[in-house]
Amino acid sequence: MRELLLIEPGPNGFEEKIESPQQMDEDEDGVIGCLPSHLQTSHRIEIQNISTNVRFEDEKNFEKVQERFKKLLEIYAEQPSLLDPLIPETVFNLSSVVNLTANDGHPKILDERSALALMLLFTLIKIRGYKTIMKFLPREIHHLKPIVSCLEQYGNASPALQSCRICERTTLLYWLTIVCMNPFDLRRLDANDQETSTLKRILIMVKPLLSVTHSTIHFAAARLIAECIARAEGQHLCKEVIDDCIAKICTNGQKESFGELILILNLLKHVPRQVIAPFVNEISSIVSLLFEKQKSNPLIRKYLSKAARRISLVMLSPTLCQWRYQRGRRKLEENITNNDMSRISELEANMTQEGPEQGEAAPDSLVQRCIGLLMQFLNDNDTAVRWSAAKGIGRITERLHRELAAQIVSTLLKNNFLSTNGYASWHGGCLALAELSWRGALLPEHLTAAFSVIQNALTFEEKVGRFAWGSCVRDAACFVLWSWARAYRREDLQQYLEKTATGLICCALFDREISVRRAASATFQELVGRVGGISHGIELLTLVDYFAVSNRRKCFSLLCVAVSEFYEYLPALLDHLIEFKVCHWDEKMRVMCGLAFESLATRYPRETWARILRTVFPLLKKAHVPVMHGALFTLAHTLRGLSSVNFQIESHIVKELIILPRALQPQVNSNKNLQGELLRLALSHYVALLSECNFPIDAEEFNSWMYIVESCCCDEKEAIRLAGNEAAEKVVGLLRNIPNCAPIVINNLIRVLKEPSREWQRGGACQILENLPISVPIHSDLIDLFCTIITRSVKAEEKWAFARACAVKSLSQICKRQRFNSEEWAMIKKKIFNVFMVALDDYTEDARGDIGRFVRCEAMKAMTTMLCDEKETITKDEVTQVLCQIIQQSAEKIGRLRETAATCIKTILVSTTLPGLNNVDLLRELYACPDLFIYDKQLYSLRPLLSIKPYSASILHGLVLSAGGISEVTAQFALQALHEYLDSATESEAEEAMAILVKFIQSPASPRLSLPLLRVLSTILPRIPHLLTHPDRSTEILNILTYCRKVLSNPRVSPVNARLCLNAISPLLLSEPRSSTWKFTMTIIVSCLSCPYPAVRCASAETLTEALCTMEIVDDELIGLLSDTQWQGSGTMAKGGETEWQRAALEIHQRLIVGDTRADG
Amino acid sequence: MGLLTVIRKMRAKEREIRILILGLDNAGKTTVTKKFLGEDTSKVEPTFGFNIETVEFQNFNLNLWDVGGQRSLRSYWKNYFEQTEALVWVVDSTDRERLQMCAEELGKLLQEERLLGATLLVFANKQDIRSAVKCEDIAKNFELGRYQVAPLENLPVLGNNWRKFTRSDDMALRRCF
Repeated sequence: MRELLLIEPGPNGFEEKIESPQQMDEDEDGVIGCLPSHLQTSHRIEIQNISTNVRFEDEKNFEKVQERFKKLLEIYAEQPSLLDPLIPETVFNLSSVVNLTANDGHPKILDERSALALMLLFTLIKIRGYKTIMKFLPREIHHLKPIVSCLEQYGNASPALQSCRICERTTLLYWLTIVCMNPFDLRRLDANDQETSTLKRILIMVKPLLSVTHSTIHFAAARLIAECIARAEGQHLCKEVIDDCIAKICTNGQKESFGELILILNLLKHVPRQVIAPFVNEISSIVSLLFEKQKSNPLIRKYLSKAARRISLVMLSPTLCQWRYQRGRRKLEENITNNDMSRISELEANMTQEGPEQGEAAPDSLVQRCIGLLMQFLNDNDTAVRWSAAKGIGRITERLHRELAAQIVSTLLKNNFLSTNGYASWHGGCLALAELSWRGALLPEHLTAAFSVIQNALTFEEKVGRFAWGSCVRDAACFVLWSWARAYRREDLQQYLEKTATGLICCALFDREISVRRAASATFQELVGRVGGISHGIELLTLVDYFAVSNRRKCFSLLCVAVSEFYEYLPALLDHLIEFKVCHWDEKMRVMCGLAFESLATRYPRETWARILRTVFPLLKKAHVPVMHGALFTLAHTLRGLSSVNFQIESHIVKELIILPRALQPQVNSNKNLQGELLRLALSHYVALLSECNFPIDAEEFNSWMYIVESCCCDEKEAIRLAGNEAAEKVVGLLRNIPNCAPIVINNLIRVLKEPSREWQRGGACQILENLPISVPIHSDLIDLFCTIITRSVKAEEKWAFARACAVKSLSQICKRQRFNSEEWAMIKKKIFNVFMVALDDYTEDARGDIGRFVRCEAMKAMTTMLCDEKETITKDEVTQVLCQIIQQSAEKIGRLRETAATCIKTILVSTTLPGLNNVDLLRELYACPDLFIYDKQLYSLRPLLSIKPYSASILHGLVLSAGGISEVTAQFALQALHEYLDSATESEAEEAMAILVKFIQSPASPRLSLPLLRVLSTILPRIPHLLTHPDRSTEILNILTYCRKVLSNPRVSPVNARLCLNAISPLLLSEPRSSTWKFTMTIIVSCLSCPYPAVRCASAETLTEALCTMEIVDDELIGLLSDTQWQGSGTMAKGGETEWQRAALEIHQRLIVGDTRADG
Repeated sequence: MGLLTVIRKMRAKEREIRILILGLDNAGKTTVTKKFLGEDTSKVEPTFGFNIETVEFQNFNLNLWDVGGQRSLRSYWKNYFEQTEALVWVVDSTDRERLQMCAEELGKLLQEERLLGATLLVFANKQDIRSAVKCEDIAKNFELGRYQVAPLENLPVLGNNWRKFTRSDDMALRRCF
């Protein structure tokens, strides 16, 4: 097993399950989960510390300690035996803390410390199993009385306590069980004057626990009762207990009787056969009663199947049947002492042939009923029930007479593996076969029949809609073969070996589920190791080992070729793929199958092609789309594989291959639904791969291929477009070899570009044009067309941002590849530059939000390419213009866009010869790591640019958009940057910044820019002190106020916008009260008091109160009026139809505005 | 749940072996157990309950269940039979009077169906004392031939020569499994 190291726990220690990063890099494809392979030293020390410190620990920490302990142990839950070295010491420490005697009569029963120790022990029991932990608990007889009385106290305690202290009581019950195992007559503990014996006391105390709701305590309680009854002095109580139990089940009615059932199971297992045997009939009748009543519960069914098994085992004496198959002599001492081989074979002959027949010849009818029930449970819907039933069948058959056992096997083979049966029946059957085999109950003469069944089970699938059941059947088939490898001699398996080996290899390589591939691999290993005789067994074993098969893609593309190096396995691999994988129900598996065929075709072209011709070609004639999809994928990949080794295919077949897309066109056109999509996907993949094969192709066929590519590129689903783009790249390249075809194709595409019915069509056409080979000339018409598309001249297509993004990308690619002559280029260069500038400012929005980002993103990349390619001709102004735009993008809201912008800037800065680059060093430093720009906090790092001349406006623009956005973290970092800059800025710098900002509200794109600005203003204004001291000097402030008044006076203004305006101007109330700005602001805010929206009224009242409180002369009456008025509600109607707030607003207006003017006047 | 779970469980289970150590009282069961564990044997007292000890042996975990041998305790022995892989029957070789009883008790045990398939090791203890009964005689006395157990002559001798003991102990255990 591989070693997986666990990271040392950090201070909090919550990350134990992460692998060390190194390990992951090395072979990450092998890692599915992470299982520890050994007990980590730090964990060991921590567990030891906890167990020793419980004694001294502060009581407040108990819960924390318990959680931590649980967490530590749960790491090892999958392989708890790793904990073994720790267990004796831990259990000793914990159990010695428990103080059972001190608290007699105390309401809490046990002190906190003892309770904690018991809880921790319970955790250990849960993880490692009670059987192991029990062994280490102190078992001196003097513990018995205190434990019993402690448990009794729990029983007597209030109901609330009874249900919550389950863990402690469970631990105590297990403890009592081990103490009860003492070889000591319990009657000696009983004083003469006591009414009830200790044993009775225990039973009385435990019984109520069986009727609590289903929990772990049932198992502990039942185990304890069984232990008591199994004792010599307890056996006379057996009848009483069973009667009691049966009565309970009868009265329970519809309530599920878990506790009682578990008790019965424990009694059947632990009480000596002779003692329990007389009651078996009663038990079985109650079991069948339960079966009728509660069989709908899978857990009950599982217990019932266990009960059936144990009843039979009580009925049948445990003889080891002589007829049992034994693989040779497996006793070491006999092999050592009798070196004479002939004697051994003689012995064997005796054992298997002549030995006295043993085993129950005529079992009771009850046993037969049980077997019948178990056979039925083998077909159960629930996995756990099937497993339990299979185990039962195995153990019972072991004790039966040879003929009866043979009967069971043949019934199993006859009934469970019909082709009409579901997966459950097959799974149960396989499990039972496996159990029988490794117990020796499946004699070699049954092997032939069983083998044919198992072969089918290895590839079993039960299709259900677009899915299939059956991975468990395939897994169980591996289980059967695995037990065969352990049970039989090579001579017995010889005739099946070859088929078994190939079957397992196919399963290990090509199964859909990782667990089945691994199981097949483990089985193959067992087969090679124990049976041998498999050709190249060891080599194959190392190839398809447990870890190698975990990556499916690797299995299909690499491992299968490696296996096929052993030529005898090739036919089996090909057959398996063709029969089960080409038409697999899972699309991904069909794709994988293609990969496998490509690799195999490269290695064995002749063999693969022969099979494809024979089997896959006919599939294309089927009308079933998934089958055609699989066949097309397989065919396409095989052809690519063949062409890579220059395998010659007959010319008439090549022709057939080439016209295939045209032949299938009617089907594509008739299927408009999902099926049609699948077919188009497959066809586009097909033509893409075929165009790599260099087949001779004429214009007509090329057009039919292009048709497929076009329809995929112009699809509305992204997955199909992606496939189409891939195909376009390869298919369009063929234009090089087909003369005269290019103009037709281009014209065709131009038509689509000009008059598309859907946005995707235009995008698709752009993407196809992007791939035109260099040799195909481009007209300036096409460039013009692109330019008109990008500049959004058509109103109806305004929202088609995706298509514009495609156009930008395409135009950039075409310009890069085409060799225009210098005159032509000079003419169009300027035009293209301007178009890209327009694209950089594309802020189209729709229901999905800022969709212009696609265009801007592509435009940034296109511009970068252009700048770098045109270093000589580009002017200084142009460079600055571009750089400013991109810098603005690098400070905006969308992380991915910032990242792209930063990458572009970094690329531009590489070419030092560009004219007009300023502050290159600073820019290089700021944009050194474009990856970081995905994080919002990078916005803060951009603040140095705010004071650098050509870039300050753009960066301010970007930061304000980010700061005024609705995403909180983004806004926080952007605001932080702005604030810090303004705090340190000089007066003139601050004024300049204001001037830039005010343009936002005057620009035509107003709401997109003005809303963020308004959001930011309320925090920015107080940071420019000179504006507040001399507000009347600034025209910007006046502009803002005018704008706000305009917004607020609009009767249809939204309350959100109104509040934004209010907040934005409220800092101006802190300015000089005599200034006209102050008065203007006051007028606006007071007018808001009579706004129809309650929220706005409240906000303005609040703002006013705040402002009035900070004034030199505080007008208490006014403040009282502001705070007492109900601005919220519609208010009570007063005289004259006025509401309360309307009157108040009027009065405030009178006093603040009118009064003020009068005083001034 | 699948084959891989089965394999993992088997691996864990294959490493655990349960050994039951029985014999008449004063046969030296606890001493033998302590010797296996390498513990001090100078202060061994009669066992009135039972001991469970775990010792690692060639990658196996041996769980030794040592149960007291007093007459009153013998009826409880059957409580320990479950899933026992090996039974070590310790004989006091010097106790000539009770040799017959010892054989009878062992005979009873061998009738037990729950011990079916478990390996038996008859451990002739105290062979270093001169008056001890010879191993061959014990074998004859016990009529073990029909049970197909390991030949007696190679059984370990518990005496003063501890090194010899440990080595033969190793051999004997190996034979058990």
